[in-house]
Amino acid sequence: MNHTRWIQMVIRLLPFNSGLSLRFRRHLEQCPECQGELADIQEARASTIGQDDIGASRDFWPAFALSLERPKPRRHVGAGLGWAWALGTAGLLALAITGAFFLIPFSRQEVLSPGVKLRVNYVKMYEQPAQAFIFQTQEANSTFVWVEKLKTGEAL
Amino acid sequence: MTDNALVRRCLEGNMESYRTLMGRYREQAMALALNILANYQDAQDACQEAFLKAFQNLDRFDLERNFKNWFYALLSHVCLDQVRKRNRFRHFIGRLRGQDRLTESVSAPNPGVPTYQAMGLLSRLGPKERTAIYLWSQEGYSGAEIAAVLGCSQKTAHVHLFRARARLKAILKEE
Repeated sequence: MNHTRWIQMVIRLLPFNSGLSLRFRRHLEQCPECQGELADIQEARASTIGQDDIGASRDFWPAFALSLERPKPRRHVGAGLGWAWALGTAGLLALAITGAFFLIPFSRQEVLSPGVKLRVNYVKMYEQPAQAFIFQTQEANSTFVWVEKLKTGEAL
Repeated sequence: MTDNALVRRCLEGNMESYRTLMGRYREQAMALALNILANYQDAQDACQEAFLKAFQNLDRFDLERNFKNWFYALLSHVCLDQVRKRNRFRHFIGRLRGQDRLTESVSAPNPGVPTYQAMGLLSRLGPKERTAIYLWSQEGYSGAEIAAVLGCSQKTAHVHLFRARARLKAILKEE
């Protein structure tokens, strides 16, 4: 196996074994043949962009000073935490509404208007229109509803 | 005045000392960023961000350490982060266009923005390899110093450097 291929393999293996790594590294640094397969410092310097190639760079200070003057953006409560708050509040609200629905005593008087205790608008018996009679006692707090089938030919 | 003395003065509230530090490293910072990003405008943005981050984290800087190495580590982190974002974006656009991945373009997006011949060569190396070879050849950094900048083990830093040198040699031979 020639040095070029060997060196490629060695370089690939280097991170896995520290003892081998050190031996190979020493070899790479000393062997003239291997050195021939690696760019030397002059070649590397010529192939990279140096400070001298750039010349005078932009002054970063004005933009830097500006960014310091700018008020810092308000720290967000983490997005996850925000969602948790929203979900928690919604859950509590839902619980409160459900609780209120079940716990507040159901009052008939609130359903029926005070003047009319019960009103039957339309009654059907066996899928046919029927007549409804409502009897309300004078003093007792009870109401009777009587529903009667219409006789043939009789209209409501 | 040394870098660390300037940092100390800056921590005491003297902003001019930070301005001096920025002036001292702006060209070197641009060079490192350009070598990693191979794009002038991206390099300028990365430098700007790194200088700001360095200022914001100056109180965490250990005054026993070397400011330049600490700043380089921060800058290379910003640049590598930008490379990752760019790759993700390129991958996304590539998928939109029905390609797996778009080929990397190293040309400057706007006319008038300086381009460097070395950008073409550098684009054929990985971003960590570019960082390693720049620090080694232009700044004379050792494996340990490269490792400190890249935030990896010394062994890994050597691997990046050897790979970069081998690849560069192969490219130079091709040409």
